[in-house]
Amino acid sequence: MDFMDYLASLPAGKLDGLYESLWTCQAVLRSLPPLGKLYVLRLLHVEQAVGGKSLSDWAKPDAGSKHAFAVERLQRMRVLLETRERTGKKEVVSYLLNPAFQTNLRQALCVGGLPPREPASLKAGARQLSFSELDAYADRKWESILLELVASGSSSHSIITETFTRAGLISSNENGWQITELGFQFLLADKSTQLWAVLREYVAAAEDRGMDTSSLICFLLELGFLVVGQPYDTGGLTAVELKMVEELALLGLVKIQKGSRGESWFVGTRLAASLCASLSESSTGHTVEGFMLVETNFRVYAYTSSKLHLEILKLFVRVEYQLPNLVVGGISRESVNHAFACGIAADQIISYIRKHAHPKIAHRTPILPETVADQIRLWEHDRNRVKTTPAVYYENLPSKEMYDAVVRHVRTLGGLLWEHAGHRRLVVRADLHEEVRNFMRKYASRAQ
Amino acid sequence: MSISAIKGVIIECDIPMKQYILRMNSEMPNSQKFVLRDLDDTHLFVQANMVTLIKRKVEEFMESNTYEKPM
Repeated sequence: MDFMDYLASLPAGKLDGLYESLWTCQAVLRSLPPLGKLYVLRLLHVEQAVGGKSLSDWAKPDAGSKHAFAVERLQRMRVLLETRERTGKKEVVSYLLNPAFQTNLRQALCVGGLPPREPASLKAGARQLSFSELDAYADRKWESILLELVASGSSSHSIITETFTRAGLISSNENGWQITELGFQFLLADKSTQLWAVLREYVAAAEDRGMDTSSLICFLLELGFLVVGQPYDTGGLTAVELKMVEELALLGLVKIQKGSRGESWFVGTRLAASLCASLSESSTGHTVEGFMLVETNFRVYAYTSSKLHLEILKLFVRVEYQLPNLVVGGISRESVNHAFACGIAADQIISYIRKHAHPKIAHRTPILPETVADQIRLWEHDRNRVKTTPAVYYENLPSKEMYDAVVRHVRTLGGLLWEHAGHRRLVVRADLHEEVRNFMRKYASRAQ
Repeated sequence: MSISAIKGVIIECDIPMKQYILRMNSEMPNSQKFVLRDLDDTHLFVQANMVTLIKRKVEEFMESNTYEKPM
């Protein structure tokens, strides 16, 4: 689930409220599938509701599924509002563009999109940062958070610990904090997935604290439209937004600059700009420089000095040497088993290696030698050699007819684990025991 | 004869592994035998409370077949 799904799951009134913000409207437009974007633009200056028939006429007959997907998405986001009217026997469906959304988007397109905020004048003492400076800052922040997650299972900032706990990435027990299976999988995911997962929980956590989430979400989406590297005055922010800026700074989404006379500015990083970019599937955001080489003999060379990378590698690689900018190790059955025990799947390991391939080998196919990929999958398979399911075993069914009826019934419920027609024996999932017993009773009483 | 229902756990595995589990069962003292029904080549029906023990023994068995070079 990405952030837009989260928005779609909000109550209708709340979502409508969000469309009062120019930036939410634009962010939502960006997140739509291409056909959805087209429909929105076509309807932008149409005041009346459009009949469902004419809407479906826009799409070629063979693009029916794409059309249905786009319309479904538009409706879920409440961009397109459906009205059903009964005239006589027929029901007429018509669609109307959400008025608040329409007004705001028109303004954005016709008046032109001003940057959401006036950048602070550089004379005031704010310093414009270079991209590389900001990138380094954002990466360092994000890494330090993940590193804390790996090392101790909790963060020194309570807000982050809280958010991660909500997301189910860490859990507390009597020995303190511990990273969960979900948490290990989270570490191997790509950055934008991680970011959205954290932000979604962040918003949900804020809601629990009784904060107004609408302004939170609006501000979050607005952040994506800020000019990267440009400082903005914090003076114009509301109290809620100010607090948020401080908390987002922990994640590396914004950097806070302080002036000599107590004034402060915030600067959006590329991470923040990617918030909106990552919404649409077409854009890939800025790709991370890979660092890993895996050879057919299971040797791993990782050109990295990042502690986080090392911690992640340690999950599934046996690290042998460590040089200032290079980690050498091997993938072995034991090392991979360690990862499996943490709840990581073979495919997650494989996709992590592929995604972080060193640029020198990134253009090769396959990036990860097939022998290694297959072996990792085989090891996983080996772990699951014995499959156990709680079940109930039935025997001595009186007649062939009854046996067949029971087997058919259980099969439609999807709970048949094993059967032997000759001996009239079957094994059924344990949770269906009551169901099967009732069925047998009913069958027996009917047969009499 | 009336229908009988037995609660337990069904084990699905490959043929050699089933033989290993059967041997494990035969080595148990009588009071701790856990195989309730030998279903077919790849299926066994066993007592639910022994599943963790079986899994642990199977893991030990597979560990004993591999060797990792020391650091």
